[in-house]
Amino acid sequence: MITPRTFVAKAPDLAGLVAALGHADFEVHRAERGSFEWYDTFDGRLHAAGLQLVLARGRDPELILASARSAPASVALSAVPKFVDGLPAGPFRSRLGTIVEMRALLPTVGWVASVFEASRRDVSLKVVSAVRVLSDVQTASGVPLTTTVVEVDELAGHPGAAKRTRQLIAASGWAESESTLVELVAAASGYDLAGFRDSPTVPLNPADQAIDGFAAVLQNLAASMKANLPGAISDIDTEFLHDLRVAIRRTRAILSRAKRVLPDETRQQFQLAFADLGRQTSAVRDLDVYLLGWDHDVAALPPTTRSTLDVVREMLVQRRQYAQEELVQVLTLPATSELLTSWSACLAEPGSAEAAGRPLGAFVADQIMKVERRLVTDGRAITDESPAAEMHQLRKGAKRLRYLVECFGGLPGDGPRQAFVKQLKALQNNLGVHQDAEVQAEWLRNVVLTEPSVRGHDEVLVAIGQLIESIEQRQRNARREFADRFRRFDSEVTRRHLRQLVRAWST
Amino acid sequence: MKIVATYSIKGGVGKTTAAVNLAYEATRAGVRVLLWDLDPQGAATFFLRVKPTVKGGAERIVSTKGDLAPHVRATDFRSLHVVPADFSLRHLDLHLDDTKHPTRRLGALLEPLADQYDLALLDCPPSISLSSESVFGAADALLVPTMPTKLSARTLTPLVDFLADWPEPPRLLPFLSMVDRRKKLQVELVQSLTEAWPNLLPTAIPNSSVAERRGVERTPIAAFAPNTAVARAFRGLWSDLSARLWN
Repeated sequence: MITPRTFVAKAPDLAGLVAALGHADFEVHRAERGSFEWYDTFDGRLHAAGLQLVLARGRDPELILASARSAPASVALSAVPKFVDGLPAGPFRSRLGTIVEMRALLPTVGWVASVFEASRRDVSLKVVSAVRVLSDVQTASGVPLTTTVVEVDELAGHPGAAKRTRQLIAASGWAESESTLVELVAAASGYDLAGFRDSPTVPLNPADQAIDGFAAVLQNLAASMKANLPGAISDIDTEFLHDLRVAIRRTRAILSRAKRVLPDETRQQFQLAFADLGRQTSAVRDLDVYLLGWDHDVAALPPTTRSTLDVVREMLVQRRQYAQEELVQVLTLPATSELLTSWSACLAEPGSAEAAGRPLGAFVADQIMKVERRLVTDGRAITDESPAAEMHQLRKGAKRLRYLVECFGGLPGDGPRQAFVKQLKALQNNLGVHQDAEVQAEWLRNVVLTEPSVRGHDEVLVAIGQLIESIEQRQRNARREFADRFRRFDSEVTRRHLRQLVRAWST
Repeated sequence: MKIVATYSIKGGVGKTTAAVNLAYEATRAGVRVLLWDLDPQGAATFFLRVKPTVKGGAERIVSTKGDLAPHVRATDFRSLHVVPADFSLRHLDLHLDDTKHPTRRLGALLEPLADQYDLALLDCPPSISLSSESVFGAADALLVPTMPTKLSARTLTPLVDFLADWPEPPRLLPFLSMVDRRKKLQVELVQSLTEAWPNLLPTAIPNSSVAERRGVERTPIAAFAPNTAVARAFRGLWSDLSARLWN
C-alpha cells in the first residue's frame, strides 16, 4: 500500500499539531502555497486503471504518476502535454501510453492550499515518516474544502513509524478518512473521477413495455451524442468523433428495429436525420483511421520508403484538417443542435405504435433473431469471388446485430451474451480490417491519380505502390481468415449462446 | 521491468557510485527504481542511509520460500527503493548453491515485483562466482565501469569470453569510469578502449573529488552538487543507458 493515508478535521488545532509533531522529533518545514491539478482522459481511463496523474505546481513543478501498487514516478514538467507522445520517452510515457492510447490528457480537478510538510529521521538522518498538512484548501473552481487535511506517507520498510504517526495525528484531533485527497476534492468539485462512461447498456427488465425499453436505450445514446459533440467540434482527440459516430450508428440500428414500437413518422424522420449527420462525419473519421494506423502500416516497409512516405502522411494531416473544418461547420449548425434537442424531447414523450406495449424481452428477442438469421444468410452467400462491397454489407449487418445485443445488454443473460458477442466481434473485426484496407488502398490510388505534388516524383509513387501492396496483403489475409471467422460464428455453439440469451428474456 | 547490473570482476572501479547515481538520475526521468545491494560491504545501502539489515539474512531471501518484497525499503527519494545489504551476503554463493536453479534464482525473486518497478539495478560485488552467474541469468544488461588503466581494461575480455558461452547473455555495456584526462597515459587508454569496444557508452565519468564527498553526504552526487562535471556526466550516462534500454 503506497497511497498516503488521509486524515481530516473540521475545526483543526494546527498549532497543537505542529507542537505534537515537534515533540515527536518531526522537523516541521515552512508552509508554502501549493497547487495540484489532476489529469485524466474524458472517459477516465487512468482512474479505471488505478492511476493518478498529478501536476504539482510550485518552485519545482513536476508531473507525478501515482498508483496504489507502487512508488510514484515523477518528471520535472510545468505543463502537461495534450497527448502522451509529448512526454519524454521512457517508462513513464509508455506506462501512460498503453492506457491512454490516442486520448487527450485533460485537467479534471485541482486544489490550491497552504501546505507544510514534516518529517522524522532516524539516527542515519534518513526519513522514516513524513506527513503533509493542507489548510485553506480550495478546489480549482474556488470551492473551499470544509476540512483541513493531513496525509501520512506509507514508507516501505517503516510500517511502525507510519503507525505511530497516524496515532499522533488521530490524537491531535484528526479523523482518518475513507476518501483520498483527490476524492475529497472531486466530491467538493462535483466531479466524477470515473469520467464519462460511454456504455450502451442501461438497466432493463424483460417485462417492461417495449416502448419504455427502446426509449431508455435511445435516451442513453442521445446522452452519449451530447457528451461527445463538444469534444468532436473542438477536436480534442479522435475518440470524441468516434464515440459520437458510434452513438449515431447505434441509434440508427435501434431505430431500424423499432417498427411498430415508435410511430412510423417519428422513426423515419430521425432515421434520415441521423443517417445524414453520420454521413457528414465519415470523411474525418476515415482520415483519422489512416493516421492512427499509419505507424503500423508503414512499419514493415524499409526505412527509406518510410521517410519517402512522410509527404503522404503530411497530405493526410492537411486533408484531415480541411475535413475537420468542414465538419465543424456542420456540427455547429443550428440544425445539428436542434436535431439533438428535438430528439431528446421526442424520447421524453415518444408516442406509441401497435407493438409499443409488448413485453420488451420478447420483442427484442424477435428482432435480434431476425437480424442474426439475415446475417447468417448473407454470410453463407459470400464466396472467394464476392466483391468487397458485399463483404462491407455483411460488416454493416454484423455491426447492427452487435449494437442490438449490446444496447439491450441491460436485459439478463451476461454469460451467453459475452460468449455470443465474442464470436460476433471476431467476425466484425475481420470484416473491418478487410473494408478499412479496401478504402485506404483506394484513397492512396486516388492520391496517385489526382495529387499534383505526387505526380512526377517517381520515388514517392514507388513508395505509395509499396504501401498499397502492403495494405492489399493485409486485406488478402483478412479475406483468407474470413471463412474461419464466419464458420465459428455460424456454428451450433454460437447459436446456442444466442438461444440461451433470448430465452433468458422470455422467462 | 528492465534489470541492469553494475558489475565488474575488479573492485574499486565505481560500481556502487554508478548504481546509486544512475538510480537517482533514473528517478528524475520518471523511472521507478529498485536498487538491490548485493555487495556484503553494503556501500549502496550506506550511501542511501538505509539500515544495513536483512531480516533472516541472505539465506532467507534466496530460499525456496524467499520473497524480496518484505525487504524493500524506501529511501529519501520517492521513486527509489532499496533492498539493503548486510554481511550475510558474503555467503550468497553458498545459499544459491542450495537452490534448485541457482542461476535463475535472482531473476525469479525479482519477477513478482516486475509491475511495481521500471528498473531493477543490481549493485554487485567484484567477483565472478555463482552469484555473478545468477546476476547474468537475471539481467538485461551489464553496466561495466572500466577505468582507463591496463588492469581494469584487461577484465573486459575474460567477461566477454565467459558470456559467449552463456545462453541468452545480457548486453554488455562498458563505460569509462574515474577518468583523469590530465594524465597522458589515461588519455591514450581512453582512445584505445573506445576503438576496441564499439559498444562502450559515450559518456565517461570523470575522476572527481566531489565523488569522494559522497561518503560524508550519503546522498547521490546530483542531490548535493548538481552542477559539477561528475553530476552532469552521470546524467549523460543515464541518457546513454536509457536510450539502450527503452528506445
